[in-house]
Amino acid sequence: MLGWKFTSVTEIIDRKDWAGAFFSYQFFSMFFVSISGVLCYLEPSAAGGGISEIKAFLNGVNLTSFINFPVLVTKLVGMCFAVAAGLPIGKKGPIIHVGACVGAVVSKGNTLNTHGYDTSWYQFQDFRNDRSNRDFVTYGCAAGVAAVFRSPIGGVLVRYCCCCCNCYCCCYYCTHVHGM
Amino acid sequence: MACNLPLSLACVAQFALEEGSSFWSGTITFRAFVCAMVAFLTVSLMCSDGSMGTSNVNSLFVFGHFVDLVDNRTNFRTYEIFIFILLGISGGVIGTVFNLINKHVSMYHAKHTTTTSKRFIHLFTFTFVMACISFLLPLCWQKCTRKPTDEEMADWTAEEVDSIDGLVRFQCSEGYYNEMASLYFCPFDASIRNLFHFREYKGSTNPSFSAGPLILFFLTYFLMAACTAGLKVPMGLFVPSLLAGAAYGRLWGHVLNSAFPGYVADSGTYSLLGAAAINGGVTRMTISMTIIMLETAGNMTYLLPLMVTFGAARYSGNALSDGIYDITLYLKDLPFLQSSLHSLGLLNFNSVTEIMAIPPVTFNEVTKVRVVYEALKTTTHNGFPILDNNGRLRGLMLRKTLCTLLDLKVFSVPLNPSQQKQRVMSPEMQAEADRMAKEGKVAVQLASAGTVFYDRLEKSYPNFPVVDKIDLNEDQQVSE
Repeated sequence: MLGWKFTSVTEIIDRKDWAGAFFSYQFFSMFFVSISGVLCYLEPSAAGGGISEIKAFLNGVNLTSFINFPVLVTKLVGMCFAVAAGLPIGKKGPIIHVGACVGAVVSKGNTLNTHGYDTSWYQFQDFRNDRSNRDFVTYGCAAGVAAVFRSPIGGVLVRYCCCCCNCYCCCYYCTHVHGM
Repeated sequence: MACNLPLSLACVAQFALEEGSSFWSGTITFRAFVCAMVAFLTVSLMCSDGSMGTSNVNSLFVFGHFVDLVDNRTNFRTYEIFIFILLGISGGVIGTVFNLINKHVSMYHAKHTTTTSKRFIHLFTFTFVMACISFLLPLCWQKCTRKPTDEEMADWTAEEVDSIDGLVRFQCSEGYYNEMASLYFCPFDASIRNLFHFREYKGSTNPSFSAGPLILFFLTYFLMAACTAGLKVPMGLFVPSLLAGAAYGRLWGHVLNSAFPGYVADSGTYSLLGAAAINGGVTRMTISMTIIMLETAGNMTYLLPLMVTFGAARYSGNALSDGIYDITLYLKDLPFLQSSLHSLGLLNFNSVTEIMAIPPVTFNEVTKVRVVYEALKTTTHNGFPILDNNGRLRGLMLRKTLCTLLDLKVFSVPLNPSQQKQRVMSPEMQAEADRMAKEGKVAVQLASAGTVFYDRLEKSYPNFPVVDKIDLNEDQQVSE
């Protein structure tokens, strides 16, 4: 989408039509951002960063409304359009949230809020408890970071540095300084 | 190689974490490792360009592959580490400014932008302003800079030559580029690559990115990125902080290059470390971001500079304010238990009576179902202390467990006399019944309640039965 936007605007620029280029640029941005905005209006949990919520979730705050299937879809699509609109925002944070959602959906199966679809997979019954759910969110985060930064080890570490409780992190930080 | 020592030290740190910490669950780490591996494999397969699954190097390093410019030499001198520390400290300060702007903008919008229409107006206004900036600033920057010629690029690496393609011509003619447009009028990943990899070479009239566009870009982009708080779209902070930091770090390299003639500072290196500094100042993550930046850069020699920069940024930033994620947690009123309670002493002034109900609703070890049912219906308590016959606390029963038990109807039902006769009793039970009969007590014999296992209790997760939906008839209510 971004490539489409920039190539089409650049073509207009080549014709020295500055006003036309400016308005088409504005139109593209507005169009993309409105799609993203409508999506987030439908699913308000998808707005914002997401890493804070995951941090809270992994430390024992029960935020089921932030980590489920509709949020996954909304966040993914909305993020693509918001980035294409040229806003100064990143796509890495949402991807980590999306990874966490994937983990939660796989683990949890039957959520309240899947618009009537029964997603309960009975073969995964052992995962239907809070502990497994949290672990799966962790794995999802790791996979998200690994995919988006092409950085698998960093993904494993993010669980500890960003998502785990700070009291652990202090200890890790000390080790980090010592290692230096 | 110079990188062996820090690398091995980092390995020691990793090892200490994995083996030495009791909080570090080996199983979870290993599973996360496998997950990350599979994700990486999938990405590699998708990035492969078809020739027997060979991946393009550029696609595997998100921000481009940093290579040693001179063989067997790092791209920085060892004494430049001290400059990196200064860069990190300043990054921490700038990150704090970012966090504070973000916090106040977020608080403003939480207070004033409350209705849906206001949110949309805010979103559209912001997009309009951003589009104006990213279109009009390149337009106002009338200067066209010449692209480096092939002779000048003779000793360049493939990555650096590729970065030339990312430059945006905008209004300039063929062979020239607009510096401002190369930063603003392209996907932001491309501008990061431009900042990281466009080599600044000496003895030429071509300064790649000059100070003017860098300052202008850094200020506007930094301010706009900090003001995104409160927008109702999915958004992250990594790329903005990296991009602003890349411009900031490149500015350092540029200033050092022009202030000290003959001194060759690699602007790409400074750009990478500037990105690390601002990112560390904003997010305050050290160890994982070090590894992530290292893996995105693809050059092990940057390990020490990155560690130093992230450490300095975190240190100076934490002296001034909290990290962005802690601020967001605080703004969203999420009940997050901080590791360092600054007001720990205040906990002593909170008594148990402020947390628990007075008097607490307690149950005996064997309780009538009706009592439990009534208690669940009339109170909103989530846990009920269980007392033994002497009034000592035996444990705590959660509401969800009680509800599940009631829902499953696992309780002892009083037997009628005919059933009592038919019932086969174990010798101990028979003896107990005889003893009670001798003492003149009428023992109501109970059918033994079924055994419930833990996984049965958790099966209805996460939607545990609610007490209002459980129907019990009179007969069941007298059971125990």
